[in-house]
Amino acid sequence: MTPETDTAKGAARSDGSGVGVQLVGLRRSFGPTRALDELSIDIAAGEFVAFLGPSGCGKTTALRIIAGLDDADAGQVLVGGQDIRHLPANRRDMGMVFQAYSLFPNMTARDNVAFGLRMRKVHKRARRQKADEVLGVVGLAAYADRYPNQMSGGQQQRVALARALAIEPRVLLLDEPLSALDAKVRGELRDEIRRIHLEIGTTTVFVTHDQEEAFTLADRVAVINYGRLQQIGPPTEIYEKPRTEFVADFVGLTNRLPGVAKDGMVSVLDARVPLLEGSVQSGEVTVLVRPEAMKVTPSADGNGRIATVSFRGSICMLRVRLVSDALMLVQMPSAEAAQFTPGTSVQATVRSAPVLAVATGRGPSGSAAAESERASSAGTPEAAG
Amino acid sequence: MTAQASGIGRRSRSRTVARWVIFVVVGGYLLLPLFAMLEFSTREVPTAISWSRTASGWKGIGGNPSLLSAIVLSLELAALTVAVMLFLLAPTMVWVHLRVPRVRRIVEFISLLPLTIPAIVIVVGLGPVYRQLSPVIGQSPLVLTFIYVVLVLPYAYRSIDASLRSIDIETLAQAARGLGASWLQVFLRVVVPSIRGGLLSAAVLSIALVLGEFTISSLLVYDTLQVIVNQVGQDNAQVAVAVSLAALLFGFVLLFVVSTVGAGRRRAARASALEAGLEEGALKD
Repeated sequence: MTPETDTAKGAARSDGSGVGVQLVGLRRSFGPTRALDELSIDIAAGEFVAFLGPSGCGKTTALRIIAGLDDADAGQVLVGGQDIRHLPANRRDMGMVFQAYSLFPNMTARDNVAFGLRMRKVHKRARRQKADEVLGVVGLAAYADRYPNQMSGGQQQRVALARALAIEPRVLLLDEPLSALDAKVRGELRDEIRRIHLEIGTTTVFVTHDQEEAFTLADRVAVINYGRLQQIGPPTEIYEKPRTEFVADFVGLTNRLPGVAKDGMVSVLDARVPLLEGSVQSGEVTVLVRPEAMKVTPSADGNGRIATVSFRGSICMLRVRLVSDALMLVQMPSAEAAQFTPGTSVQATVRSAPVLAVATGRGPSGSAAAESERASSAGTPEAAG
Repeated sequence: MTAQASGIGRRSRSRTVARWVIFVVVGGYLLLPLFAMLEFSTREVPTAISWSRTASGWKGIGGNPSLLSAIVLSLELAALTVAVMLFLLAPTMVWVHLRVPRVRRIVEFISLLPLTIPAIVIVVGLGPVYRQLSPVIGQSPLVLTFIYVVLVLPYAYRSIDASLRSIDIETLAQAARGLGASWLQVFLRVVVPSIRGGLLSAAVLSIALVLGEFTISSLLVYDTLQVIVNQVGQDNAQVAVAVSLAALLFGFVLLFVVSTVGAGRRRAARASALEAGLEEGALKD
């Protein structure tokens, strides 16, 4: 898995406010643990980028280094083309929202929002006016005089967002701001963040381990593992064209099927499909295929049988046991899935969408069967993702 | 069902009775000596119990110049001790919590040391130091402040530490820094108001300790309140008891003020939160 540098392409809006941010070869170690390993990411002005990865992958460390709350061992943090690593946190002009509720308990919502302006010696009347205005943006104008302990978690995080926005930061940093909230409030605040970003257009970095959050909010998603950038791109590209085995496994669900690669194509389940960039190009490989890229048709002498059918509303998830005893997941519209019941003999194959092929034997399980069994034993197919 | 209800009622009544018994016994245990002090200090004839009362013991406080100057000295010492303690300890503890949390155990250990060292040992150790330093720091009894700051350290440390642990000081400080605050502004505008309760408790404990301190000031021959009370007690026990009771009541009033202020704030917060909750329910916010 080679670290990569990606330049911000057309995905970024150039008309937004804010500035570009470049992380160049960032390294950070905590004792023997390497949190960041030559991490390089280029974020365009006004862009919303999500750092996505498992716990401990280094995404929060990278954010804290941008904010000035931590320092890198090596590398550069360029904001607007200038290296800001020498600047202390209070002179970086960045707004940050934390995972933990971070409102000052001795101040009202208005005073919290006005705090950054007070530090900038803005006149009392002007900062009050600005604080009320920004509280209005996050829908909490009526809560200006309340103290943090008089507000719910969601309201507190919205005030924290308002506080970060009030100083009109060059970059807005969001460190898993939704993870302490319940599902309903999380969804509401997520929409709120997206709306506000579209309205204000500040360059935003959002750290999360939740792929749904990352995909819903971000213009581009940077997938990080072991402190290294695995891939960065628009959500659809990350999902449909994973460049590494880790990205394919971490994002969404993946079937691991045996295949043979040759001349940019791979033979898998009697189909020949093109290989994605980053694939092993020849020999026996493990092919990583999304459930929706699988196809089954009823066939008396097919290569597998339906094991279970799980109804998910508009779609169904079918678990198919192949004659090789491997289990695989197939996603299809519920209307189409109605013809299948457990025990139905089917012919399973792969649609012609490009797939990623990795060396056989690598990965957490090493085989499609083991991966699917893991999903099965966990009780939900999502466990495979 | 009725039998079950009457059983619950009986249990509730017996719990109430038990609470009152405990309250009366503990209250009596604490109040009886104070009542005895009041009774003794207002006797017409010190050697005999009678119904006739006099305030001469209490009036004697104002009529004794050395007692008055001792009260002033002890109050000055208390104020100085609180000031020096807060000035040294609060920033140090905040800094340790924020920047070097790994040395927290060491700081805690050091701050608890005075609890384990008897006052006589401290005096024997510090006596020569004071004598050596007297040309520099002078002979004023206010130099006792240095020892008193050490003496109050364990109590003040505990109060402030509990306060610091009750808030996410690291995140608050980082949020303030990110918004442009210097470290001094973080300390004064964010941390201190957030741990005000702990600082007040530390101050009250320190005042109580300084007002009640006898051993060190007596051995170092400084006329603080308790030393003079002891001397006055040789001539007029009623005045000595009246002063002691007044000092105790002063401490109680301080504690009462601190706890009332804290409880008042908590009550106001709860009431507002309840009101907020009701409004939210109505508005479906």
